[in-house]
Amino acid sequence: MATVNSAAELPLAERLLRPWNAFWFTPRDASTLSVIRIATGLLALYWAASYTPDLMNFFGPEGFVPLADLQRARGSTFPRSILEFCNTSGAIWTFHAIGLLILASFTAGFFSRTTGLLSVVVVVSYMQRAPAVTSQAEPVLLMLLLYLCVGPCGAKLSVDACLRRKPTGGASRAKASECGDSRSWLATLSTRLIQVHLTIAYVAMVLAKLNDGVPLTNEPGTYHAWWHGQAVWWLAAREHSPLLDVSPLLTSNILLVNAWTHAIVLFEAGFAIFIWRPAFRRFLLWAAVPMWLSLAVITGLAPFCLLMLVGNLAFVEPAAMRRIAGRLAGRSATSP
Amino acid sequence: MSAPQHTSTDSQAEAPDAAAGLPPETVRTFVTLALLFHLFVAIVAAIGSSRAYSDLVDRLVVKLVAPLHYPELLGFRSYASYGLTYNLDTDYEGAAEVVLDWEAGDEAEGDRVEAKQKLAFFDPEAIALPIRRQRYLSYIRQMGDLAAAEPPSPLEVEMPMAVSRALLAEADMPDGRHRFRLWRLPTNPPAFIDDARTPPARTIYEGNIAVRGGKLDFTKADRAAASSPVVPSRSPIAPPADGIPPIDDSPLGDRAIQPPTDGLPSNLRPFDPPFDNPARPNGNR
Repeated sequence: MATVNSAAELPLAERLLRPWNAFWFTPRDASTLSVIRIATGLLALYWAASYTPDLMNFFGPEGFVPLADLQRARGSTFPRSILEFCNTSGAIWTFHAIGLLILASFTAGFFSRTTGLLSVVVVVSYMQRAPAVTSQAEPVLLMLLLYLCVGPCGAKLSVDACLRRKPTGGASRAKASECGDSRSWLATLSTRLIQVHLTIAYVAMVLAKLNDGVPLTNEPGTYHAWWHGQAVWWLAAREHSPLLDVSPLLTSNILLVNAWTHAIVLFEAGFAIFIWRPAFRRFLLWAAVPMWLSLAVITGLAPFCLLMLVGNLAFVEPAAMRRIAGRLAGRSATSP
Repeated sequence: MSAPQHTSTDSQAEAPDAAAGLPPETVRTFVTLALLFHLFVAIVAAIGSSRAYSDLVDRLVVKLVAPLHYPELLGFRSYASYGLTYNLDTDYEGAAEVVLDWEAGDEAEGDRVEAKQKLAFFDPEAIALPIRRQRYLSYIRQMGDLAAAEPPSPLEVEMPMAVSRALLAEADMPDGRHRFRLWRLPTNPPAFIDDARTPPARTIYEGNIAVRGGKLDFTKADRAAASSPVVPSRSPIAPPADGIPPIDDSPLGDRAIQPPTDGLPSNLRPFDPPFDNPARPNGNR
């Protein structure tokens, strides 16, 4: 009976699929996913809770976004948001409270997959009911929430994990099936989806910065902020948006403005390409921190910048994440 | 009789995979197909939103991405806004207000308009949380985009009307004629630019509001279209050199927007506080 002794004897299709299978399906530990779950959940909670003072302004029947106008702009009355069914202030406040509860449960890792999917529904509801007040953060938030649901993001650092460790009962078995084994191919699939989609986002950001739709000419009046290296000024000098006013530092310093602007574009382009090379990964992940934090300061888009940093965590290996978590917890990390 | 070789090959190829924790081949196949489709859709949605002019991408967006609905639902098509700024008209911050008791002679503006009562859409100084400020600024930017759209959007009236109705409702819908004004607030240029003059703030959309017995009627004001240069959304803010408005006190024809030396009309610096409604200390209703 002949047997397969080496990869070279496998059919061609299988040989070609091996790297693909290794990339997408090799089981990995869920430590990284669990940390991403907590960070994403906290930011989602903050994002949703910040709607509280303006709930009636944006979602109320007499607010700034009448439902009829929204449907007319959309060209369809097909509902895209649970808030479209909330016609009274009581219903809106009830949805808001339940939404916050769902996001908090997901953050804590309680029935993680279920609350994760419900979190997607909650965020989509806010976003689609008042799209005029959304920013760059919502697509990144939704991407993270959606892909976290694919994997066992509640396997560690979660209420689910605590309940699973309970000694007896069918309930603990149910919890185990809810969050799954901590080392699984679904953890890999979820992580890779975040990594790949984040890379797509970085590429799209670079394209968006460099392609402003205006012909690149030298005619007076035309201006291309990112090509000419002055975009950072036009962000930092806005009156109401930046978290801190750094324009006095920049107003006479053209070289700093140019360098900062070009660094942003180069970093985003470089990240998309070189993050996949282990030799560059650590440097890029560390360089991302000042990059995104500085962008948060000058744009005022703190949730968006922080979510990008959270997404970058997908490139941290689970073993490294366990070591970091162990150091933070004041004890050495144990192997799964 | 020996077993067929392909059967032993298949089972032995599966065994290492199963031992390595990989899912069964059927599952891998299904997931692979789903992945390829989903990632293709995500890439097309991202590229299609970034001002790609390729007919192929446009058609893929229309025929493939749009009918699926979930890319739009999840914001996959929003990457055009990740340019953050291009120093174009549409990138600037704005302000919106309703001026109460507007009279025909107020077209000439001046001190009389400054003295009138105004209902501000939002007071950025009163909103401490940056994410909340950004929401109001996004709303104003969207209003401005619709106002500046060429050809005019049939929806350009809807947002200003909704804002006007909401603001006037808080003020108990005072009868009379009022005026909605939407401003663009240009950003100060840096000192290292040779011609470092800030273009003045200007109205890009105005609407006439008539309130009688609690009923509100809103019509677009022609003055905004005729007198204020509505710059198309893809044009840069800086006009050609011979069109830069003076920063001295000379009047600008019948627009009568007097650009002060710091580039902003005086009724917007400092930012007017919202209408003094105790029920709305920070923008809430």
